[in-house]
Amino acid sequence: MEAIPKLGIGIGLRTTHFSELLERSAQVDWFEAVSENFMMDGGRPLHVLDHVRRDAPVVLHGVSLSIGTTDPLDETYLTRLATLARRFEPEWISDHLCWTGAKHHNLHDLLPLPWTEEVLTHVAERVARVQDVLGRRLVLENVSSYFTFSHSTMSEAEFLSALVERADCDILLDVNNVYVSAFNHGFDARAYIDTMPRDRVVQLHLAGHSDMGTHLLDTHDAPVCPEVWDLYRYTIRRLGRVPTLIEWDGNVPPLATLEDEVSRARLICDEVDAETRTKNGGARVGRTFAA
Amino acid sequence: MSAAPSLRELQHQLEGLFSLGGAADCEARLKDAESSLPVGGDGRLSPAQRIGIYTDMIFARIRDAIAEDFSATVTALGDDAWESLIARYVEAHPTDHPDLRLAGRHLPAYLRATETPQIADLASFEWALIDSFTAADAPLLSGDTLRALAPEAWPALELRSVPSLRLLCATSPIDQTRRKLLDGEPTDLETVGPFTLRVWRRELRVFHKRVPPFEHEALQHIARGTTFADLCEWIAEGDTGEDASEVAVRLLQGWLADELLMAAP
Ligand SMILES: [Fe+2]
Repeated sequence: MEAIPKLGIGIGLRTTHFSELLERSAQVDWFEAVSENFMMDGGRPLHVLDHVRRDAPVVLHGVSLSIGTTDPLDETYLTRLATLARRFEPEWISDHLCWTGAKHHNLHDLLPLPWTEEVLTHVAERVARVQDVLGRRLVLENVSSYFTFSHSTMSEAEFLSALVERADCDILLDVNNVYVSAFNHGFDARAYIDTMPRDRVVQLHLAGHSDMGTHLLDTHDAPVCPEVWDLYRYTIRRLGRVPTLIEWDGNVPPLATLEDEVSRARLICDEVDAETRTKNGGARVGRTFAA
Repeated sequence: MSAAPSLRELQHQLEGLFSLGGAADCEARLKDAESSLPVGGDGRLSPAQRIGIYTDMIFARIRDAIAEDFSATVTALGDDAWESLIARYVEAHPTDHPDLRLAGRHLPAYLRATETPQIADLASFEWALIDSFTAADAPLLSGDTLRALAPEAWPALELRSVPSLRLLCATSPIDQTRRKLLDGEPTDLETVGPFTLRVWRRELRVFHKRVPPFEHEALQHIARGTTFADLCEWIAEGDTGEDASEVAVRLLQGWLADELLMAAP
């Protein structure tokens, strides 16, 4: 497979920051634009995306593809997505491993799927069609979930790993979503990360969530919590320095706060790199002695 | 245990439950349905409660997205009336578009049928502002093009408005009312109209302006697409007592200055 572009650490492109981004360039490596927020005919959002695209790589991240629904694929939506991709030339295009509605209604939420052979076949077929239209690999993200299906025959991590092989697509691994779902369903977050096929994970997400007592809610309205930073460090150790994006959608803080989160992610990546160098250096020294 | 439902059956059943967010009997209906679904629960949360997390989030997300676009209308109605109104609206118009931004696009028409004309007018105005903001960009007709036009070419000159132009006719001063509502000032939504307005975008900013009914009607012609000759003919029919082409040129000058006219293709 082609090498993953070394994008570094980026942030989501949000309306709150539009004015500031037109005035100064943010101390971030790249931007992720929510595809649907730019599927319009003209005006300011597209102008801002054009502007940031001049200086930084951009990735398109959709929320409405509904890859898992049993409704037919929305061809109009796909055409708009392909048009947007031609205009902005994103590094890649991602959406979520979920469904967002049925009976032609869009519920605007990322809904959980049962992890069965039936669903695997269904989703893999649809991914193939999407990849045909887009002319490139699709990247799918694990979502936070609040219930699981009792007739699932595999774990989410097993399903995702099987899907990317069968459909030849890639993974956006949301570390916060792994943490949230692990809490909500009582599985081991690190074991989930361990299951991920290293060469398929092209991007990571980090975000804040809310503790509701009985469950964690993926709210994207707070800083990344210490436990998720720890899981991120673990992920970088396992998967390497994967391009990472900080998501913040509710109570969006000033750009500077996001830049601080970006610095923190960079620092963790640097620390893991340093650990790896020490370990490898140590190993080489060891071999020299042994030789 | 009975055989697991197909993905399609499962999604159709869940879609119904996830759409109950505004319903008064939502909790009871989730409880009734939980035993028929292969959804797991535990000591912390029952299956119905877990499904309800989605149901609540879905309703709140759609309600809040629409409220953001109709801030003045929400203020005019008050939070409680808004909450119950939006539940009825979402039931009448389930969200069917991939873009959440468009969830409120049927609201002005819905309010026209269910609320006072003043509320419907206010919502129409707010939607026009939103709609204009993301309308297509278009090359502008320039004064230079017109100055270079040979006299004999004028009658056939095609006149078209920019895609962001929206024309409104309201029974109350919705522009003032909206400003006051957003500033937290008291308002009374009295009927003293009609008020005719245009909403349009210049580069990236959306503007609105009250215009006399005569100009409003002329702009309707332009919005549909017309020629200079036809515009003059329409003006002459109105019997303004002035030379129709002089009136037309005066209108054109104003529209050019405001960047309301699109270049011919
Ligand atoms: Fe994410």
